[in-house]
Amino acid sequence: MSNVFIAQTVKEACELLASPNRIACAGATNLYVDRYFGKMLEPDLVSLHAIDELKRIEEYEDYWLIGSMVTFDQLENTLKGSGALEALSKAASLVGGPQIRNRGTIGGNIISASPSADSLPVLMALDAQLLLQSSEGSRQVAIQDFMTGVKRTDLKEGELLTQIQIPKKTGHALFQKVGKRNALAIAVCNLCTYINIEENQIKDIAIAIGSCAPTCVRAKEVEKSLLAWKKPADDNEWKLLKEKISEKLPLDICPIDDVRATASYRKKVAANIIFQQIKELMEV
Amino acid sequence: MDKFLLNCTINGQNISIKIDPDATLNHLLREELHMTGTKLGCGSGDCGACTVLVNGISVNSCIFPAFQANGSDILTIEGVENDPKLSRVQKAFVDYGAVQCGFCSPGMIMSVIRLLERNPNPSEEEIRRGVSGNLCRCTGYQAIINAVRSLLPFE
Repeated sequence: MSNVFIAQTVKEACELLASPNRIACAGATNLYVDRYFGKMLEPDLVSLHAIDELKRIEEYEDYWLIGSMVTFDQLENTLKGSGALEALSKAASLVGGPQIRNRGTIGGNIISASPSADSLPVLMALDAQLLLQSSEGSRQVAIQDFMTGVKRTDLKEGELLTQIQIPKKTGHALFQKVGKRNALAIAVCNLCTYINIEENQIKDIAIAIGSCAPTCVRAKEVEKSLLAWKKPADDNEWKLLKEKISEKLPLDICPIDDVRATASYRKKVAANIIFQQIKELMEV
Repeated sequence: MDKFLLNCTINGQNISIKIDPDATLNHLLREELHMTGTKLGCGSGDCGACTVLVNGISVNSCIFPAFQANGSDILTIEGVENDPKLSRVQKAFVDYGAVQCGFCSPGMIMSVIRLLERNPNPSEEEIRRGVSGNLCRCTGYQAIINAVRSLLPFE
């Protein structure tokens, strides 16, 4: 059985985490499930639940700052009507059920690093930056560089994720999740598309896909091929756009067959969602 | 391993108890305090049978670290029956046949209390979303929705 330490400030949490065999505990919606199944029993916990400075969402001129202890419920309700970041509100609204959204945090979602984490496609598509603090100092890292594998990140011993910074963008973004049922389901595929359109042409595009590779990934090849694409004028041109997505997407993702879906289903559904989202975003 | 001294309020009563640091809130309620109205279903945050309110917010007590409840105000199904306003929800569940085996009911009722506290006049869709964290294998949910609708101001 392990001990618990309750940190009141970020500084105190970092000092507590500097000792070995300690991990941060946020809403515990992953950690205590692991523990129920006999895993993660050893490490002592440094609980972040009393640190109010990590529970804030702040809007600045060029970016949003989201504390790592902000819950999905907070994200859903605070980020409605926040431009491209509304996609994060949508993603948060589709996590688990109400009880999980009341407790689960954005920081926990990132650090748990599930390939199917619902916040990750939005954070990746919008180029979020993470602030990591420790008793030694702090560093900032792009979320793309932080996710390294299934349940693996670049988090170093003693580091704590404290803030997520998301730049404000001029375009719009959409999030969609496909699961086996609406509530309490892990995504078979979750996806966020961001597009900025100027003069009927795609000026900027970012697509991030979850559950289709060891980590959430950016669909770089699809993005490249659609940059500067003109808004289709008829059904035939839409068809060409769809074919381009299906052609390039296999270069970006490597889904597997598992209990939730087959790889070929995931490829198909991901291509369909990208197409639908682009269509919806272009028709705004 | 040191015991953790937990101070909190449960259904209006002050509680001070030494607990294992890694105990869940569900374990505290059922095994230490013998308040067995709150159920333990899946144990992993999926079914919602263990739902209680902590500072008014619905949580799965089976994956809630008990020590994080220090200083908070907890409401369980045992606290509902003595509150005339809240026990209306229980009565509606009985009147509308929203209880069959009864295992999901305590958690379901806590979720409904939270839903109505936040949104006193929810649409059917909002009711369904409000109880979407609670699984019921008997009723098919419709009787539960009907029970909740009977409590709305304009029904």
